[in-house]
Amino acid sequence: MFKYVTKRVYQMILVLFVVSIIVFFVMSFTGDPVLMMVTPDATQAQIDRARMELGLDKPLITQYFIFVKNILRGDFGKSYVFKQSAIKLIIERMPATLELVFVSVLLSIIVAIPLGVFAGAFPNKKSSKTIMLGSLLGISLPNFWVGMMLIFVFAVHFRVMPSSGRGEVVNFLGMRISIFTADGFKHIILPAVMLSIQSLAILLRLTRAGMMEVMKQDYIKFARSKGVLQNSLLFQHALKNALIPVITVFGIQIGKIIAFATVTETIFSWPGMGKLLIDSINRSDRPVMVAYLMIVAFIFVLLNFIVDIVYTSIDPRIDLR
Amino acid sequence: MYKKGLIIVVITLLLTIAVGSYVFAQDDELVVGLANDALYLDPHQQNETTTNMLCKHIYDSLVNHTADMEIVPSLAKSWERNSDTEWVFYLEEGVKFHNGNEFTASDFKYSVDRIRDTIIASHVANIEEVTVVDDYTLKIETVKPYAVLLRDLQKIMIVDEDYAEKVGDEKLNMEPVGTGPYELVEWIKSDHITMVSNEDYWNGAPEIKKVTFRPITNNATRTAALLSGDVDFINDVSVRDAERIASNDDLTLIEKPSLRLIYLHVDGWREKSPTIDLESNPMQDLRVRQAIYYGINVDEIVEFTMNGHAYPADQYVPSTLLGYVDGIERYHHDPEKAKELLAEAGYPDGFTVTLDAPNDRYVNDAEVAQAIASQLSKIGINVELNLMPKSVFFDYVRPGDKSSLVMSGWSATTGDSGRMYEVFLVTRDKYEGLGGSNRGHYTNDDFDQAVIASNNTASLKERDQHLQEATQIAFDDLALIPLYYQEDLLAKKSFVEFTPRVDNSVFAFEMSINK
Repeated sequence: MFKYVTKRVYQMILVLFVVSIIVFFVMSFTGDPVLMMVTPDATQAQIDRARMELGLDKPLITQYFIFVKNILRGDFGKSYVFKQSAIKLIIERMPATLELVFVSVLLSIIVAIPLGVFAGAFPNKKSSKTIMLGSLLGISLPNFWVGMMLIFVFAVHFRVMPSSGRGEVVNFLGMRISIFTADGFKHIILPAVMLSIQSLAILLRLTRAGMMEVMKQDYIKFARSKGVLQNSLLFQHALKNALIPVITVFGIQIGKIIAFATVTETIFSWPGMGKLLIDSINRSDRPVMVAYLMIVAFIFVLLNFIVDIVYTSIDPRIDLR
Repeated sequence: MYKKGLIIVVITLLLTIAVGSYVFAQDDELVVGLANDALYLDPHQQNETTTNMLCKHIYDSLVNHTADMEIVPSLAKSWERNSDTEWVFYLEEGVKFHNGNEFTASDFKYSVDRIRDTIIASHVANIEEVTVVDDYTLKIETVKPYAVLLRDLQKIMIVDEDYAEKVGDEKLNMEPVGTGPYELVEWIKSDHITMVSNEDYWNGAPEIKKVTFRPITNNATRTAALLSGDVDFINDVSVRDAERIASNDDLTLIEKPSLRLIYLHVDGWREKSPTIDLESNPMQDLRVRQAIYYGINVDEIVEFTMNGHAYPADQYVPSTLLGYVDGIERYHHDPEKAKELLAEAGYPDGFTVTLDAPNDRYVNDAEVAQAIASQLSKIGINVELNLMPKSVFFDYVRPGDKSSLVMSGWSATTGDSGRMYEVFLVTRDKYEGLGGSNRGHYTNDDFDQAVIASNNTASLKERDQHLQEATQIAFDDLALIPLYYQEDLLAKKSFVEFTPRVDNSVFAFEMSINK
């Protein structure tokens, strides 16, 4: 086990290193941040000075090594626009994103697993077919369109939900959290629904496929014949084995939800780190973009690692070596 | 069974939340949806539209712009000019900062000095020295005779010297203190900025007692927030949503020409133009430039490409600004005349040229560029399009070495045409600080001298004359081809009273509620 974990940690570091190379060099092709900062009437001398202050006058390779050296000290550089530490800007906005991701993930699990179990156990029922059709829509409808539709139906037409923003928040362990207030919770529903729809649909379909497979197996027939109750049969005996592929994909889905939060946050004006990324792209604020991408890459790698560990506790047959 | 129960619980929960907790706003409170958040609430960190606009709620300057960009007294109640370079300002007495400190002349001097080492140092570049004569009298010495000093002073927002020195930059930014009509309550970045009225404001407390600014960057969401009643006022309405708002009885759409001119830079003063594969540069010939102007159908672009949300431009600044010449007529679309002019100039079959334009900077910019290309093809000029995102575009066109035709925009936010001429049309590399973005390599000594003279006078009237002279010369030469002014679109609930401003700022202290 220990040997396995150390090996994985080495791999994670390698992946992050490669990501840093890609992120850094791709970023340097995204236009000149200096010209976005100075006014159009700036003189060449002013431009040169700004470039020097940002360290952009050095060759790209040198810039990269400085960048890596700083990262190793936990310094992702200062935002060009706010002159504050980029990582601090992101962490400031992280609770809002994590909160949204948390509710979305919860929503996908609560809805997808029972529906998936149902549709897998009784594939021929009409309601199962409706569920499957719904999940197909969930996968194929463009995400931003769903978001806009939710706003127009629930906020503009029926006026039962707020159109955007975060609502009232309370301080919880030093973080601003909105789900603990009625107003804040009301604000999180629509964005969470939009953000969860795709992963919900995917999880649902996977659960169903797993269930259909498991239900054919002998041990289920045996359990049934020995008189195990329906609910217990489905959710204890069958689901446990059906869940293994679901968990693999689930890890990736959480990562995807975090990444897709950029779109949701922009549409719902949710003040999280995804919206910060989009705003930073518009301002050519390179350090913030780089720091964001590195953090998200880190989260992805970490999630996959956790998923691999979780496997063993669910399915002892899997060997970590 | 278990599932049914769950569904019922979830639905009940949602309904309770949805129906419950409705908070009704007070009659003197407003929520304003803005397209951007402030970058700073320290007024000396960055020269950015939304930042300046929000800072103006908290801070005052010596003088102010009215809605029509005329200068009126603010913290300076009067002033006089002792010589071409020396001005004396008499200040309002008894004005208090939000923290109770009194505003005196030294706070202004401190603010000017503070700006000197920042990215916005150009605001004070023409001020040689500020002298505090007494607590309520200031003397300002300019570097040279400088007619537009008041326009610069309008941008210099005044911070409390004691407070700024005591708390440092970071706290000043998050907990700003000024003399302005509003005090900050709370700023949660990219979520909201809440302000309450300063009841002791020296110029009378504003009518709106509490205002919340919410940055809603997505255009459709901003419109939805207004339609759903979450906000009372929005700026930068997208053209697509204009109809929908106009047709709603409870809402009012405000449409007016903006200061932003969209124009073409023509590379007409170099022997060879980079994208024209000919021995010499045909656009050196005035007749060819005229042909291009005659070939473009601005009315059609305004009506169809911009859906009516633009205003044809007859010269380089709107009529209310300095430098506008009465009587200049724009060239109306005339393809026959354009062809004749091309033939006279020796290009009856036209030529091929590349048009550089951004595709994400101005409203419908890529479509307008395409329209221009198709219109010019009808007079024989084959236009190849080179469309770029703004982050690449401005870098690409700045030196002017790769461009023959450039479509771009400029906002005359200083209230006259001077700055635009200095940046875009004065001969490149000849005078320090001038002509830095002269993408068309325009050079005309009379023009240069007129612009320079306009900077070396202390009288606005003389400046206007010099700038008018410059406008006439540039227009005769067609140094730039003016196309149209963009439209500013704002929308509000009908009970909000607001007079739109030429500079498109949205100030809560200029709003009131009429229910």
